[in-house]
Amino acid sequence: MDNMKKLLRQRYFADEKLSERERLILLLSYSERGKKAEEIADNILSVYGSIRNAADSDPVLLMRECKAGKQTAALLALIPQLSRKCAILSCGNMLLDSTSAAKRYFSAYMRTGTKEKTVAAAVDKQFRIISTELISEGEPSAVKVSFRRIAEFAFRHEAAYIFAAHIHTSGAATPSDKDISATLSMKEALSAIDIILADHIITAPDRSAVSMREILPAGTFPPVAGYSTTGEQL
Amino acid sequence: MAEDNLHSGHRDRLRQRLMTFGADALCEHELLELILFYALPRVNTNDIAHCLVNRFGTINNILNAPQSELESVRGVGGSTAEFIRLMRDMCADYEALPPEAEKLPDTESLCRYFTGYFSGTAADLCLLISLSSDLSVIGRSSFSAASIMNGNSEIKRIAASLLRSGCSRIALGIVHPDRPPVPDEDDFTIARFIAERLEPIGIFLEDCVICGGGKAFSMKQSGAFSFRRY
Repeated sequence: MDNMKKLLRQRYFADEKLSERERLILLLSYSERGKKAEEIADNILSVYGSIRNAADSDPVLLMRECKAGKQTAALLALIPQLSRKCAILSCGNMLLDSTSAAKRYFSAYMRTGTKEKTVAAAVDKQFRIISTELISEGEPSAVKVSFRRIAEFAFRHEAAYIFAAHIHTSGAATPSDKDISATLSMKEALSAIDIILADHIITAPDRSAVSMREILPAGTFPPVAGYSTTGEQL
Repeated sequence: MAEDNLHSGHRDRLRQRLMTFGADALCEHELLELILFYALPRVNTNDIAHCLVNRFGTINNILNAPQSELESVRGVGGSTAEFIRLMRDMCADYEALPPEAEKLPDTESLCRYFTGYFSGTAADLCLLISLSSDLSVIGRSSFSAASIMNGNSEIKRIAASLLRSGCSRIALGIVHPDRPPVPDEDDFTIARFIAERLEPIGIFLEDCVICGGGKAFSMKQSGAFSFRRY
């Protein structure tokens, strides 16, 4: 085994604190041979600044910009994907029967990446999640939400209720005027064909989340028996 | 040899699926296989992945299992258990919230930021800062004023860096170390160049601040430049 990898491994698994650069070299020693791990770790930190930023990057760009192999790009891409999977799994067999449950779930689901995205979740009458799907993905300044796609999703899964959620990737979860008008339009469009929008959740990278049902005046959303507004701050 | 090719083809396809579609396109044991590829580069990890899932249930449980319990699973040795721990730690670090970014909510804080950055700078330099929707600094990219004026701009590199940060708002600072912060024709040319090239790709110039002699001048505040209003 390469000496550097051996030394870093010994230090790391003896619970010694490594620098960001050393941790990255240790990680890449599993995907790159010999001295390449060090060279590529330096390239990555020079271009992306941190392991986190590199993990969130486009793997194809990372390979090109940092002269990394596919194994390295996949290993870095694995980190946010695995984190997210674990966060969703730790929500357990969650029922989206309250605003806090919905906020926790979507905060875990939307955790990764740099693009703004909108997802929808279909639930049954007991608020068990039938399916969660990506509806649209777009530029940081605006995501055009297709109400048609949400309607198709709702019909495909015979949802009793629909939740929509989107993430403000570079900012707080505070809803903008556009968010409010999008929520109202979405609710109207779906109500017109008897699809009930239970809530629209906005999340942010700092793990905060906001329920539009809690934010907007009472009566804006249709009543949903069994769905409680807890007012819990997330 | 043929079997090696079979394994490497399978590994390549799983990696490609992860990179293209994310972890949602993989079931739990496939995700686990991907992890094990790195710890066990020459072994068929499919059976080991299934054994781990059978023993611990979820990938969460596997990542958090004590090393000794992991090693009790057939095919999982000390170095594999160590790599699983490394991935667990990497995920935990990723989950930890990043340090709070500096906010620049108004012209005064923007001017302070640029004068602080340019303090001690001896050459005519430009700095582009990427801002989040709540005006936190999420990145920065510097370049020489001369590169724009001489037509050798690094606009491609700058655009790539800004897109990578995911920002839609930027602020430009230009320093003239040896004179007061009064914008000249070249400063307007640079600000216009940046604004016009980046606006079509959804990146908008918030302000252009000229720095010099420890002081700063905001083009937006002075009304000297047309800026997008939010």
